[in-house]
Amino acid sequence: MEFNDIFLQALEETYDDEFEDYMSSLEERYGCEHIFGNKHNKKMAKLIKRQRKPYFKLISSTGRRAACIIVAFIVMSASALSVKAIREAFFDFISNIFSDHSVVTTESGTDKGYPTTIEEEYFISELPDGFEEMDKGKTDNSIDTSYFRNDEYVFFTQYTKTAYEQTYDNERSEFNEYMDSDGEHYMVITNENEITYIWDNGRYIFEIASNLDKDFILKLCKSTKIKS
Amino acid sequence: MRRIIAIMLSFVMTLGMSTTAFADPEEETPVVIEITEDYLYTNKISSDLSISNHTATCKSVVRGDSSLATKVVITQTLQKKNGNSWTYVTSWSKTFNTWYAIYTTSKSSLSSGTYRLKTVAKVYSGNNYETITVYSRTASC
Repeated sequence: MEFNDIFLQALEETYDDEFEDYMSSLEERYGCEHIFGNKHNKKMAKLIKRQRKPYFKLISSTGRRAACIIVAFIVMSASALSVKAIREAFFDFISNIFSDHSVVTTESGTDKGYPTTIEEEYFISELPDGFEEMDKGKTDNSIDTSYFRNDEYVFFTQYTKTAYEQTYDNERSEFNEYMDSDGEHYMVITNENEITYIWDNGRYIFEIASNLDKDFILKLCKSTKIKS
Repeated sequence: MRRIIAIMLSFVMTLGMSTTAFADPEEETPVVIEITEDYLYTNKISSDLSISNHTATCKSVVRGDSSLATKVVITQTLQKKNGNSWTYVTSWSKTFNTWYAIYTTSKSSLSSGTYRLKTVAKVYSGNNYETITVYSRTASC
C-alpha cells in the first residue's frame, strides 16, 4: 500500500470517529436525535438519482448545461441548412420543393423496361383542327413540341425516364395528383393560365401543358400514340 | 470536457457548411454570375443534354407565363467535368421575342469525358426580367 492510500485511510477513519463523537455530544447536549426534513430528503434523493444518469457529467454544472443547449442548437441549424428541399412523392414522381420552384424527377430504382433513349416517338392523335406545329426540339432523351391555334396552345413533351427533370414555378401553381377512370395516374400542375398533366406510360414520361379546358387536355393525354 | 465540446462544435459547424456547399451545383462552377430566381414570369424551365458519337445535342425549354412574359433570352453553356469543377467548352445564345422558347444546339468532336448543359434564361416582362439557371443531368462520351 502506498503512502497516499495509507494517509487517506487514516484520515477517513479519524474523520468518521470525530464525526460520530460530535453527533453523540449533540445528542447528549440537546437530548434528541437529528432528523432531516422531508424537503431535504427529497432534494437529496433527487440529486442522487440525477447523479446516477449516464449523461450527468455533461449537465453537472450550469456552464455545461448551456454548452449542451448551444451544441443542440448548432446541430439543428446545420441540419436545417443542409436539407435544401422538401421531397414529396406523386406516384412515380418526386417533387423537390424549394422556396419559389419545384424540381420534378422520377423515382430512381424503378427504371426496368424503360428505354434510355427515345426509341419510338409519340404524337397527340386527337389534336383539334386548326392547331399547327410551331416549334420542335429533340435530343436522344427528349422531344418538345409546341402547337398553336391563335391564342390557344398545347405543349407536348416526351422524355426518357432516366433523363426526366423539369423545374416548375410553385408560387403561382398548385401541384396535385389525379387518377382517371382507366387507372392512369397523373401529376397535375395548375396555375391561372394553364394546366400541365404529367404521366408515365411505362416506357416514357409525358407532359401536356395547355390553356384549353382541363377535361379536354386529359382527352389529349389519352390520345397519345406511337408515330408510325 | 471543454475541449471535447469545442471539438464537437467545430466538427458540427464544418460539416454543416460543407454539406450546404455540395447541395448547390453553382458552387462547383467557377463562373460568378448574379442569379435572381423568382419565378415571377416563368412557369417551367428544363435543360437536356444527350451525347452520341462524341456529338452533344443540347436542348433548353422555357415556358413563361403567357400573360406576363414578353421575351426570353437563353444562354446555353456546355461544361466539361474537370476533377471537382466544371470547365467551359462552348456557349450559344438566342433571343425569342415571345413568352416561350425551345432552343436546340449541337457540338461535335467532343473529347472523352463527362459533360453537362447549363441553361441561363432571362425571362422578360416588359423592361423587368428574372434570371433563372438550371443544369442538365450529366452525359458522358
